[in-house]
Amino acid sequence: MTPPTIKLAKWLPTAFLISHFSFLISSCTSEVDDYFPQSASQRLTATIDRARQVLRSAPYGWEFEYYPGEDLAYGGMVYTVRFDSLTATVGCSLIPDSTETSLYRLTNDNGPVLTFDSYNSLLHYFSTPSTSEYEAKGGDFEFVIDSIADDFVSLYGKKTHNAMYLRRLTATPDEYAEKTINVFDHFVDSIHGTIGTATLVGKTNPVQRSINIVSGRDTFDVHYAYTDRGIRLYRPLRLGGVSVQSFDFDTDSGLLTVTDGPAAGTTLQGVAYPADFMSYARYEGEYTLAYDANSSAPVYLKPNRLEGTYLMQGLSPMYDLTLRYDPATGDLRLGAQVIGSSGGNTYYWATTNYTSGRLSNIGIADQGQFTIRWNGNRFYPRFNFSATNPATDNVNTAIIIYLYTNDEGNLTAGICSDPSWFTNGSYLFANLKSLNRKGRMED
Amino acid sequence: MKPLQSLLASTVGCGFAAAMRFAASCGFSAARCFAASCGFASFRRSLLVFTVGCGFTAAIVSCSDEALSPQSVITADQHDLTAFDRWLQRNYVAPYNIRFKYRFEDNESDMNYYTVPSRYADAVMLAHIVKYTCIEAYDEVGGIDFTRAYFPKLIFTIGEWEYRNNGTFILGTAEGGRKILLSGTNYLSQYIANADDLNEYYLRTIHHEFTHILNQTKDYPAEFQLITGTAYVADKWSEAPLDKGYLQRGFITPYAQHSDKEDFAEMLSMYVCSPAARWEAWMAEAGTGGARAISAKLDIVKSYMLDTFGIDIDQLRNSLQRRQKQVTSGYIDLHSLEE
Repeated sequence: MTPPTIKLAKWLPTAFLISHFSFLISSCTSEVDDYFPQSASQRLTATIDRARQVLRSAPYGWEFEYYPGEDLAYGGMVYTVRFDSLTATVGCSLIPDSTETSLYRLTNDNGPVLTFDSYNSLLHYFSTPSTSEYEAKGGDFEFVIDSIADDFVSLYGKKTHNAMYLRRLTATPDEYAEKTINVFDHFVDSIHGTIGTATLVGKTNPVQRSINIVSGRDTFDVHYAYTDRGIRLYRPLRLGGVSVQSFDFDTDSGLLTVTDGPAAGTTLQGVAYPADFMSYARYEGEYTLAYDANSSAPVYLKPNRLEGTYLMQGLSPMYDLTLRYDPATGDLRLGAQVIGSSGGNTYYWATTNYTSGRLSNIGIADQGQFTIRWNGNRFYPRFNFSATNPATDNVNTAIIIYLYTNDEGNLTAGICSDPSWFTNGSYLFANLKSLNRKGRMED
Repeated sequence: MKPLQSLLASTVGCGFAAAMRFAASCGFSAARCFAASCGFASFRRSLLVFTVGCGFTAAIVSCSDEALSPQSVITADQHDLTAFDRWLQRNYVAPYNIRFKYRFEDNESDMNYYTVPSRYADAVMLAHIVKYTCIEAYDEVGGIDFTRAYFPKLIFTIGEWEYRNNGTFILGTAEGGRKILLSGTNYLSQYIANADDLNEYYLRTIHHEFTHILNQTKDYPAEFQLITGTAYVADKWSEAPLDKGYLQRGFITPYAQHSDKEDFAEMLSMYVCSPAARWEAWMAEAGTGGARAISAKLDIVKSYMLDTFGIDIDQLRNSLQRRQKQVTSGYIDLHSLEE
């Protein structure tokens, strides 16, 4: 069949052809140029390889400035970490001679991620939940890597998105910890001074690592971490037209000196605690626990600066007691607590009143608690026991019991008869009186 | 007079047909035709040029084949193997093809709970315990082919329990018939010396979850749920007064009151994980009515396991009790990663 003869404008076929050619050309060459020369996963692998190489290249390891909790309620903690091909050796800058090894991995689930994927009681301290704290302390143990330089890596926590940093160590972790503990123990009650054009005063909370600052009509909190030289704030503090973040701390003079930025050299004066106030660090030392008519046991109060608590050691080889510190009053608090387990039984240091014999409710926080307070005497320092809540439970005695679940499923207690848990041959601490400090009170 | 659009439309329609015919008939003479044509005066020639031009353009600029890179864009995580990894390869992967994940992985965890990784040393112990008291018990009674076919292929461990905001916590979960999550690994060294605690917190969980997996593969008889059918209460099982007197109502544990599926799993796991004497004591406590219901359900469980999988649960119980005692008495080395 012959094609129909149609009269057309001469230019029509040409136009038709040209327009179709251009469609063909543009449709087939529609590729967008790659912005990066390599694919995304190749770049990710390259970042992880670089991170691995940098992290393992530090002979002393790294200073890891770590901030748990989205609300920064615990301030910052500096850990020391050394990476080898399999394990990470972690130390805490506030615990002398601390070292614990666990596994780590560099992976790519949320971008390049550094994860500490086997349990480390130091590093996972803020991430560990419990019945009373089901969200733990808001700590991360998986970190997304932001940037890598030879001696500085910046990260952020996967859950909290808090900014954290790894800085190459130039001394051993033990040396770092020794200096940091020195800063912590000598830290001041309050600070005052001028930054830029603004004057400020600040009240410190050294155990929670924050300073409440009042400047002009503004009041706000800053959060910090202790370092081997002083403190470093989580965020730069902008005040009086100037930005400051890192400070050296002189333990003798109490002076805080800015070390970074254009305001370097600016000083803030720290003011020590009043002589009659028990700051946290002052409790460490040897004591005698006095109870009953004339019973006594030598004990040692050992600080746990990571938790802000004290351990009372020496009552028995089987356990230590944990005491909490109250920064507002300077008192210690000692409550009923689990002290260990053996032979399938849980052992408990329970508190009670000697006369009534009624055990304070087990498992309810802060029930049956003692307050331990200095009598103010510097020559014969005594820290006297009293019931924290005499109206609800007027405790004055402690007793070691063991807990078990009976056949009906109820928690039941029996008096400890295993002598390895005894002090002075007994499970009983009748009428607890005081902790008597050995020697005078230092300034 | 036809409007321009319809003119073009008919042009295209006819032209295309013409072009096709042309292309077909003028195949390789197309080049000569093209060269011979001196312009676009002829419509047919224009169409020919169009066809050739298409082909030409296509050849030049067609969605060009990028040469495929030999390098895959999927990159696997690399990390060195630990001694534990090598032990797991020999004891879990090679014989059973089971993956025991002791290192934390975000994607394997339940994102509804705050959790921490397992401690390495405790994970080693847990791997030994699961193998000795569960996997090998089933090998002994059901044959290794049974275990290879049915035991869940992935075990993931985390360090702490999964705490809810009301003070309770989860011991473990099973998913999709293929994975078991075991929590509380870091407490293992604390509970290891006590058979009841070990049972309560770890072993019963595994057996309970494994029972679900077996049920998902082959369902149990429908008569089971008719025995105490009206008494199932779903999530109310933990509330008073249902948390007491459950034995008398014909349920071996409070959780068994949840549903027939949970009842079945609780029946089997409680039966094999408890010594015979304790089971008798529970039957005595359950009274006539309760004991009758529980025994009727137990009969179904027994025949299901025997007929479907060839497993005698009395033999399984003996094997389990023996193995558990060996673990809690320290007879089995739970730390060794040697050959």
